[in-house]
Amino acid sequence: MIHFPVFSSNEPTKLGASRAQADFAALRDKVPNESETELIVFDFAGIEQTNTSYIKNGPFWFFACGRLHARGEESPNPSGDPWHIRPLPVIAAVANIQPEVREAIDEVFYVRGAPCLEVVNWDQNGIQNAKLLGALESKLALSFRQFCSLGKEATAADLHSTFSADGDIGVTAWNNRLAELHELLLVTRRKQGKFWHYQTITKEIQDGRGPRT
Amino acid sequence: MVRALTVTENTPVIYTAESIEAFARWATDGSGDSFNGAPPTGFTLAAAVELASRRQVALSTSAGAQIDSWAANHDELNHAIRLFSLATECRISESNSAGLDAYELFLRRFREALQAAGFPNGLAYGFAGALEGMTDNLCQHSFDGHHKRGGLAAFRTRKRGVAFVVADLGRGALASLRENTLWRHLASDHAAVQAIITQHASRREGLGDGEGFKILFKAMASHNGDLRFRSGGATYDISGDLDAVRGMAGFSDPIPGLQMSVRCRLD
Repeated sequence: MIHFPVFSSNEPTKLGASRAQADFAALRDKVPNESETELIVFDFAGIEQTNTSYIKNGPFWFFACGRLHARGEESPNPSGDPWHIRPLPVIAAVANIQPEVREAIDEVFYVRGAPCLEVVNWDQNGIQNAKLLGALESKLALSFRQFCSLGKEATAADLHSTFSADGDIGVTAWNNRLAELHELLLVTRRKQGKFWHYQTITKEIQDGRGPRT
Repeated sequence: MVRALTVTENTPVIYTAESIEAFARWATDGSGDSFNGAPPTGFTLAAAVELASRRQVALSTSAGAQIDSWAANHDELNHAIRLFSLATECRISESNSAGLDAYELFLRRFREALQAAGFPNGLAYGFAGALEGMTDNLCQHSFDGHHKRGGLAAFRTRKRGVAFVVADLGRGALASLRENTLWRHLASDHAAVQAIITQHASRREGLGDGEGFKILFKAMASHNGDLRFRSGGATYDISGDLDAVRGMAGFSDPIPGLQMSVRCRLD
């Protein structure tokens, strides 16, 4: 896990794409193209004001690169521009966000149909507790909450057997939903034998304002 | 680098093609320590920046007439001008002793000038955000290997009125957008400018809509705002009020880069 404090140089205001690129260039270059998926917690402690351009070219840029990687896709339009998105093994989350910062993050992710985890508690082992911002389709949100409540690694069959009483979700549907949650960077997975074993990024998910669906 | 020019209320109001050209020269490369000619009046500032952008291009009669005509209808501001050259640092620059870089200092001055001119704090910050978005857009999208970094941001305030402009000599909206496969089909400067304004088109792929101008539209929509985009051979003028934002496409002689200007009155 990479803990990345956004606050620097005594600047409580972070605005614009150019500022974001200046702030995150070193982090971008630090992430190897091929490795274990790395969780990045963007810590906004001390940041009082930001805007959508900053968020889009900061945390959302890393989310977009991580999503490409999770989907196994290539860069849509390779060029010499270091800020063209490309597949990177990263998961982006945010922490210590003030209301105005939360609003900007929520808007950027929501209008792009993407979820974002707001970390409440974390330690060296990962995220213990988080809230969902941005957008997540209601069925996926329910499945994600159920999975978090299980509190351990699971396959689609495990989840089907555990939550079958809560609704008519077959193993195939669980497979599909887990694959979607994986592409949205809310769960990680590893293959063991014939089956994918999934793990949530956060151990607990809190009720909060979102995500909007 | 910050260049500042103050025009007092008593400054003679003289607007000629020569004065704008001289102003544009001063604004572009800072020739001389100060501007010696009569400054352009009112919102002719925007025209001056357009001329600054095309300074090395022969000024055709029709382009000059078009700019003159447009500028003549926006000639009501006469308090102060400040300019910021983005020629080298492109907004990320070394901090001064107060911990502010030149660009931040410029934005602070803009906010303070707006507040002094009677703009409520929220609106002052909204316009500062708009100017920030416009200059950020310039830094992000105007340049490539064939176009040097360079541009201007300027503002002018008077009591309950403001005008501000951002202009560059870059590759223009069409060439920039066509880097994105989603917008590669665009065939004209008009299409590119309208895609930016009405469809939030952006150069980079995979990151969703462009963000640069949303805040601007929000800020200007209910405050008698006028906005002008010009790129290549296209212009697009927008007027806003509480009910709607209206746009009108127009033509200009081809001028390199993208120029954006905003005017707003509280009354």
